[in-house]
Amino acid sequence: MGGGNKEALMGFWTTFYALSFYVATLILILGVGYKIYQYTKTPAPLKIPTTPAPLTTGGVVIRMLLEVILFKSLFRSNKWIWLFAMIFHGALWVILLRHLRYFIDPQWVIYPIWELVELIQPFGKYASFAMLFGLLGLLARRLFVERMRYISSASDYLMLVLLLVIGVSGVLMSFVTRTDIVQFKAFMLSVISFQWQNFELSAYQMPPDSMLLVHLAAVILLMIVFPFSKLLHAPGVFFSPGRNQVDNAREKRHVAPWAIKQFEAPQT
Amino acid sequence: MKARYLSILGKLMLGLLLSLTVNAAEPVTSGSVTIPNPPKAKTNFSAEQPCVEPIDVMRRSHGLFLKHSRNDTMRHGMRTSNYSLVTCINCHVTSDEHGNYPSVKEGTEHFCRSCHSYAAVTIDCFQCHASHPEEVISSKVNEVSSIKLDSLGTPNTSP
Amino acid sequence: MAKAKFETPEFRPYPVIPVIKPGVMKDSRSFVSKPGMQESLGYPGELVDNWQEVAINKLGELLTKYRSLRVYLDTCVKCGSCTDKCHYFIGTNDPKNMPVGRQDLLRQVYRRYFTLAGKLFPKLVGAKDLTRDMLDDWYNYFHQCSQCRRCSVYCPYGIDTAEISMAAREILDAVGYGQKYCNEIIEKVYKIGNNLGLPGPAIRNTLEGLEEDIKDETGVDVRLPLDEEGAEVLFVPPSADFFVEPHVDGLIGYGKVFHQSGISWTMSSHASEAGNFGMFIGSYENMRRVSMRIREAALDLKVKRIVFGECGHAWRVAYAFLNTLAGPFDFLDKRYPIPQHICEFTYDLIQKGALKLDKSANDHRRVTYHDSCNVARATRMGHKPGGQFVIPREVIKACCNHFYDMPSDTIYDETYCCGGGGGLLTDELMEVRVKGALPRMEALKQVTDDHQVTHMATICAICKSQFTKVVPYYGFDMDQIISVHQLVGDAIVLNVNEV
Repeated sequence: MGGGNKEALMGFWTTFYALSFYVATLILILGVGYKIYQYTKTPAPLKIPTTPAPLTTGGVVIRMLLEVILFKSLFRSNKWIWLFAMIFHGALWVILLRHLRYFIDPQWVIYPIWELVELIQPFGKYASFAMLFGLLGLLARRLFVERMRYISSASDYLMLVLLLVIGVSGVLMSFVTRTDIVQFKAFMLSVISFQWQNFELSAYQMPPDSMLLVHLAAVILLMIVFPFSKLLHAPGVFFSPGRNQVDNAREKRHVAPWAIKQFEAPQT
Repeated sequence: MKARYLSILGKLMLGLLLSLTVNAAEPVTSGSVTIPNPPKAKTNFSAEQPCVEPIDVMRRSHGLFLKHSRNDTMRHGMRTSNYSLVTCINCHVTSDEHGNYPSVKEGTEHFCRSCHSYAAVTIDCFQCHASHPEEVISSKVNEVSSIKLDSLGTPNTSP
Repeated sequence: MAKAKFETPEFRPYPVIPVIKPGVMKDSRSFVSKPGMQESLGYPGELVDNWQEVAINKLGELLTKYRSLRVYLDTCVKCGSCTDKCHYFIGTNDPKNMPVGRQDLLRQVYRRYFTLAGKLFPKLVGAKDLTRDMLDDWYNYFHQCSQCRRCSVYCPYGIDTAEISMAAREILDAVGYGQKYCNEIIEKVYKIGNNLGLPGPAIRNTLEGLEEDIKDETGVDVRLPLDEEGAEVLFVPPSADFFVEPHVDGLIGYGKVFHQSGISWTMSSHASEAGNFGMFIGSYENMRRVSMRIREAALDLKVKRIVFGECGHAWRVAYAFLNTLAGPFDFLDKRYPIPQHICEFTYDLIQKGALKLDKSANDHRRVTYHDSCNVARATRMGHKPGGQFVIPREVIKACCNHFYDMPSDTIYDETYCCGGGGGLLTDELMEVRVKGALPRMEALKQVTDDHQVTHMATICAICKSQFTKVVPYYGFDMDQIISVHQLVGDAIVLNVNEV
C-alpha cells in the first residue's frame, strides 16, 4: 500500500471534517441564537404560570432548576420516562465534560482546571454505557408502548438512532478499536484556534479511523439539526411561560407592548 | 424587575449554550497548537520497524496490548506476551546528562507522560511498576522499589 | 333529555391506562356558530372562501403575539408524559384526546408552514397540510379540550394544551368557523349583560324573591343588593348563581356572609356575570371587552373593592388577567387584594372570628371537595402558593364536621376537570362530557365507599352545572353537588353581631 494514498486520504478527511465542523458550529450557534432571540422578542401577554407557582423571581429560579436538573414534573408524571431521561441526560453531561480534553490545550489553563478534566475521564468513559442504556430505554418505550408509537414520527426515532450511533461509536473507540487521540486532539485544537497551516503536517491531521469518522459525522449532523428540531427543548424550557413566570398577577400589572398599542394607546 | 429576571434567564441560557457548544466557545489563548514531543527511543526494534508494532498501531493500541499482557501475566500466570512494559520503559525512558530520569507524576519530560498528560489519560501502570529503566533502580538507594520489584519478579526479556 | 346514544364508561377496578382507539370521537361535534353571533364578536359570519390562507396568516400572527404558543409548538419532544393525563382521553380512548395528540393537530400544520424541517421533509417530521379534514379535526378536537391545564402540570416543559386550544379556536373564529355555544354566550354578555341572558329587571326580581325566601326561613332581613352606588364591595357572581340549582344556594350563602360582615356590598346589572368566555375562544380582544364591564361597573358604583363569586374560569380571568386586561385599578382600596375571591373574603372573616358558624347544621352531610381545574392550576388565593387548595377547605372545615378528601392524585394541582369546562357545557357534547367525567366520578366513588361521603362541594358554576347533569350517569344523585357557600350559608348563625 502506497504511503501517498494514505496521506491523500488523511488530507481529504482533515479538510472535510474541519469545514463541516465550522459549518455545523455556525448553524448551531446562529440557529439556536435566532430561536432564543425569537423567544425573547415574542411577548407573553398574559400571566399563565401553572400554579401553585413561586411568588418571587428567586422562587422561579429554584423552580426552573428543579425542572432542568431533576426533571421534577416528569418525575411526578411517569417514573419510567423519568428514569431513562435522567440517566440519558445525566450521562450525556458527564460525557460532554469528558470530551473537554479535546478542546483544551493544557497550556491554556491553570493546572487545577486541567486536573478536573483529568478527574472526569474515567466517569465519562463508563457514563457512555449509562447513556446507551437510557437511550435504549427511551427507544423501547417509543417502540413498544402503543400511545408512544402513535405520537412518534420518523424523526423521533431517527433522533434516538443518531444519538445511539454517537454513543456506540464512542464506546467502541474507548474499548475496542482505538484511534490516535493525540493526533485527533492536535487536529481539533488546530480547528478551534484556526491554525489551518498545521494541516500540512501529518501530526495535525484527522486520524482516518472509520469509527472516528462515523462518530464525528453523527455529532456534526446532530449539531446541524439542533436548531430545526425538537432538540430546541433545551433552550425552550427556559422560556416556557407556564414555568418561568412569577405568580404576582394581582400585585403587578403585566401588559404586552402589542396590547398597549392595540387597546390602550389612544386613551393615554 | 423584568429586566433582572430576563438577565438571570439570559445567564442561564448562556451557560447552557456554552456547555453545549464547548467546541466553539473555548477561549483561544495561544496562537500555536502544542503537540507532545516524546523523547526518542534508544534503539530501533528492527531495521524495518522502529517499534514492536508499526508506529500507527502502537499509538492507538499500546494500552490494549499492555492491558492484555497484564491480564495474562498477573491474573492467569502466563508470561507469553510479546509486549512487556519493562521493555518499553527500558527503551523509551531516557535520562538527562546528569543521569536523572524524568518524573512520571509531573511535567511532560517522561515518555509516557508527554502524551498522557496532553490527552488527560491517567496511567495506572506505575502504581506497581517502575517508571525508570531497571538497572537504575537497583543502583539507586530505593529500597521500597527494589523490594517491590523483587517480590514481583522482574521479567528478564530483552528486545 | 334525550336518551343517551353512548355508553357510560364503567368504573375501572384499578387505574389502567386505556388502550387507544383512533377516531372514536371524530364525530363528536358541537354546533357551529351562526353568522350574527360571529359578527357581533368581530369575526366573519361563515367559513370564508380563502380559509386556508386566512388560517395560516392568523397562526403566523399569533406566533408573534404569544410566546407560549411559539415555545410550546417548538419544544415538545413527544416524551409521552402527558399521554395518560387528560380526562377526555381516559374517558374516550381517542388518541387525539391525549394532550400531545391534540396539540399535534396544530403542531403538524405549524411545522408544515413555519419550520424549515416541515417545509423540506414533511413526512419525516410529521408535518401536514392544512386540509379541510384537518380543519374539521381542529374544530372537533379543540372543542373536546376543557383547557383545564392538567397536562401542563406533568409536562417537563410546562406545555399547556389550553394555550394551544385557545390559539386554535381563535384561528377557527378568524376563518368564520366558530363554536355556537361560546360565541352565543359572549354575544349575550354584550347584548344583555350575562351568560344566561338575564335582563336587569329579571335579576332584580329574582333577588327580591330570594330575600323573601331568606326572611321566611331565618326571620332575618338579609339583603341581596343590586346597583347600589357607594357600596364598599362590588360583588360579581356567575349569572347561574341567580337562579340555577345548586348555585343559587351559594348566592344565599354569599348574602349571609356579607350580612354578617357588616360590609356594604352590591351586585351590578351591568357586570352581572363573572364568567368570561372570551378566554375559551382565546380572544384577547373579546376577553378584554367582557372584562371591561367589571371595571366600568366598579367605577359607576364607586366601590372600593371587587369580590368574585364561585366560578372557576372566571376566577382565572379575574385573578390572573383582570389587572392586565382592565387595569390598573388605582381607584380601589389597595389594602385588599384586587380582585378578591369570595372564599378569601369569607376565610378572612372566619380567621378574625367575625362569623359565628354552627358546624352541626351540616352534620347530615359528609362532604368532599372538588378542586376546580382553573382555580387549582391557574390562580391563587391568599398570600401563599397553594392557598387555592387550603382556603376553600378551611372554609368547608369551619362549617362542617365531616370532611374527607378524594384520593391525592385527583385533588390539588392534580385535580381532574369536571368534564364540562372551557366551552363544552352544551348538550351536543354530552357524550364527551359524560366520558370526561369518569376520573372524577371514580374518585368520588372511592371516597363514597371509604367514608360514606354524601356531598361534593365545589366553587365553580360550570362544575356545578356539569356535575348535576352527569353524576346520574354514574349512579349518583344530582342533589349531591353543593356550593361551598351553601355550606357556609347553612352553618352561619345570623345576627349575633347585632344583639
